Amino acid sequence: MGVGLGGGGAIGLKLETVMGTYEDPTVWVPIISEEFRYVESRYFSPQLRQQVMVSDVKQGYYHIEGNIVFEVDTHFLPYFLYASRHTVTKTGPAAGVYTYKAVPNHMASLAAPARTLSIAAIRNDILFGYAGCVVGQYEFMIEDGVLRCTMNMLGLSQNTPAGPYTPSWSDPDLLGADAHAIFVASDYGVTPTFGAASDDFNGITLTINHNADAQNRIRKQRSASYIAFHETEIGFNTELDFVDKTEYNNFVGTLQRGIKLESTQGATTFATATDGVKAQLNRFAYETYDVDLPGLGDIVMAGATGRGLSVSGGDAYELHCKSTTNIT
Amino acid sequence: MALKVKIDNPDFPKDHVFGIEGLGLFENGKEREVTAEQEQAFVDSRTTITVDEEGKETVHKLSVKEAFKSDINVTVGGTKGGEN
Repeated sequence: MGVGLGGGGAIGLKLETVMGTYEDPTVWVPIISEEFRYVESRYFSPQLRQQVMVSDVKQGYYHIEGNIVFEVDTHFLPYFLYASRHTVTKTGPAAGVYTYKAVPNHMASLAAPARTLSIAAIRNDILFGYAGCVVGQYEFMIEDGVLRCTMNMLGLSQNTPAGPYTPSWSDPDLLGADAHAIFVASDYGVTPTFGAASDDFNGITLTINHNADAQNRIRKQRSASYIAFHETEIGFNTELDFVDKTEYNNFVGTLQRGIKLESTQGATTFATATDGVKAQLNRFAYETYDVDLPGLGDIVMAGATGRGLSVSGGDAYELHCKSTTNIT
Repeated sequence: MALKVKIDNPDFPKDHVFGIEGLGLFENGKEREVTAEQEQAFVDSRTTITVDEEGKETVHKLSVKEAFKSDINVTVGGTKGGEN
C-alpha cells in the first residue's frame, strides 16, 4: 500500500436499526475533515515488585470520539440531527421537499428507537467502522462565506468492516455567501417576533453543546454502554459593528430576545425556500459585550457572546432543515 | 456483455444523480450499462499490489460486482449488494 492523501478518503454512514450494531454505509457524506479516534482508559498495573515502574498493561474501557467538519449540505444534515438528543419531526413532502425540525429534549441518553449512526471511514483505502455514533456538540459557523458545521461526535464501539466499500457521491450543494441572514427578535418565547434581517453581524458561531460523554458499565465488553448527555449549553459568539449604544445597554440590562440564522439557496426566506437551514435560539441574553478602541485604522467593533436559555412551554432552540432527503 | 449497474437509494429522490469514481453518473433508481472502458478503468483504479516478505508481488483486482457487495442499495448485473 502506498502513501495516501486525505482527498482519497471518504466518510459513509447509516442510521442504525439497532443502537450500536454496526451496519455498512448507504450514504456518503462529503466532509472537510474527520478525526475519529479510539479512546481507551488503558490500565497500567502499579504492583510493587521491587522495580519502580508499571509492570503490566490491560485493555480498558473505550469509546470513539472525534470531530467531523463539513460544509452544511441539506442532503446530509438531517442524519446528524436525528443522531443526537433531539426530538425530530419530519413534514412533507411539499413539491418533493421535506422539512426536518429538531428540538432538544431532556433525556440523559437516547431513548428507543434511537437513531444512532454507523460511520465508516476510508483512510488510505483502509476501512474503519464505528457504531453507535451520536453528535454531542454542533458548532455552526460561516467560514469564508460558506456555512460549516463542526460536530463533536461520540461512538460506542469500533468495528472491522468486511467491505469493500465504493462510495457514490452527490453533487455539492453548499450554502454560500449570498445564502445567509441573521435576525434578532424584538422579544423571546415560543415564537419570537422577528423583523428584518440585521446587517451588522461580522460572522457568527452558534454552538449547541449537550456535554456528552461515554459511559461504561460493568459487563463482558470494553466498549461504551451508552452515551450520556448532560447540561445543554447553547450560545453564540459574534462581532458587530458598533454604531450606537443600544446593544451595549441591552447587554447591561440583560434584555432577552430570540435570534436566528437562516441559510437558504437563492435569495429566499426560509419559509419559501426549498433548500436551506435555520438555526434559531428562542431566548438568549448577552453574556459578554466588549467594545473598545482598536488600532488607528481599524473599525470599532463589539465582540459579543450570547447564551441561550430555556423557554417556558416551548423549545430553547430549533434546528430546521429543508431537504429532498427522505429519512424513514 | 456490458455490465449493468443500478443505484436505488430510498433516502434520495428518483432524479437524484450519484457519481461513482471510474463508472460515471447514475440516476437514482435507473439501471445503466457500464461500458467496457469504464469497467476496466474502475477495476484498474481499485487494483492494489501487495509485496510479501520475500518480495513476491500479488495483484489484487476488485471487480465491479465485488466492489459493491456491501452496498444494499446497489445492484450490479442483477445482483444486489450483500447478496454475493
